[in-house]
Amino acid sequence: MSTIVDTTTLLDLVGVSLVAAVGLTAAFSVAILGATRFSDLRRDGRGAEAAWFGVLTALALAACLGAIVYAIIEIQTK
Amino acid sequence: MESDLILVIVVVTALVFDFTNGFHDTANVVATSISTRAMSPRLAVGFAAILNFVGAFISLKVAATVAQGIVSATAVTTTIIFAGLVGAIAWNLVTWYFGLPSSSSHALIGGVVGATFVAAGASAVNGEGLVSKVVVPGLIAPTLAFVAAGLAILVAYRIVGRQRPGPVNRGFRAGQVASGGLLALAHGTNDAQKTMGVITLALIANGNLSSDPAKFHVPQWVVISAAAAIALGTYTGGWRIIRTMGSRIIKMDPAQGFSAQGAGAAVILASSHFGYPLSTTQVISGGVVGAGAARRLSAVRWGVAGNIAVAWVLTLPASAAIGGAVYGVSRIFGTGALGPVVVSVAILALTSAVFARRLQRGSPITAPQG
Repeated sequence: MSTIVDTTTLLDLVGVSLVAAVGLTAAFSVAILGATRFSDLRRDGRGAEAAWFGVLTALALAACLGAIVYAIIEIQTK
Repeated sequence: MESDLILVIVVVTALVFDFTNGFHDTANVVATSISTRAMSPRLAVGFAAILNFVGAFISLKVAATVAQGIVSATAVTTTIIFAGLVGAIAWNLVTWYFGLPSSSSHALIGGVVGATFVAAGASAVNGEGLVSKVVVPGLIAPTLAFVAAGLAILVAYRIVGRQRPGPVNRGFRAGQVASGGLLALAHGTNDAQKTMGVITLALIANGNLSSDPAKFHVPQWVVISAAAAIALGTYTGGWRIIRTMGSRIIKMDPAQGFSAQGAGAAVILASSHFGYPLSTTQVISGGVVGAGAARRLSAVRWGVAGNIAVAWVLTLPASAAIGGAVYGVSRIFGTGALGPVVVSVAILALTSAVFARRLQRGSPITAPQG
């Protein structure tokens, strides 16, 4: 059975897939949350709080962009 | 002269397979984007076609030779490759007709296995390779994507659940453009290379290219024609499968669409990283069902999902049976070019008759409006 199924690779695949899938979706969801809150707070005149959510959005989007760049490099090298 | 004729037939058949591959697998990339209105149908398939074309040029490491480790390399001839391709094309068209997403790669492997079995017997087929490269990945791909997309959508709802739906939906729609683009690039790279591998192997077998691994290269015309065929197929759009994937399994919102695509892209790229190839179709289908089931089990039309699972189970034996039958018919006319020529003419006649009948009966299924 172990020759048919490479258990170590399979477990690595499962772990990385789950972390990447949930991480990417979480990062993008945080970016959306940040952008929505930023827009709402700025409209209410709460500039300082809005700025915090602006930074959060930028960081989350940077994480997503990093994932996309990594993915393109991965596609290129495989 | 006769071997050149078989070579031409194999090249044309490989490009037709590549077209059906793009046509059949468009749904993997665009179905969720169209369903959530992230993009219009025509824009979505145009975008996917361009990125499929570009993806075919990104990497040219044609390592994935067809059915490597599954059938004996010494047993494979150009006639076997031809029969295998016909088996895969036929199964792609059957599943497209019924609107069922199924793996084009598994269909191609099945076709080649069936033809090899008829040509060289059971000893030329490696059962263990078949289990490890088709059966086990066939179980892992949808299950892993199901769990990944399910967890992802739960996390997404947890984070944005209390926000206004308008901006949240717009955000996820924008995200779908990026995740769909990644999927299209990955698909173009992986699947166009399959056809490049088939054509290159046929050129080597025919003596047009050196069999020395050190001198191995893919001719530029092979790269361009394979990229163009898969992009053209993608642009044509297999609308029946797009409808199944986009709206018949679950009625999805933009967050679910993004989770299914994002989780699908993560699983496919992770599988590529670990050298454990999984079917794009099975991953995305599993992701769509997972994104729906995590919200509410009854949101999934399990009957449709069951039909898709049946198609997956049938892919290997059905394409193998067709591939074996095509090889058997070809051999009736000897080992030369006559068999493939007769089969090709018969298929062209049959296809023309079906299309003529279709035109008489009414308009074909095309891009939905809006």
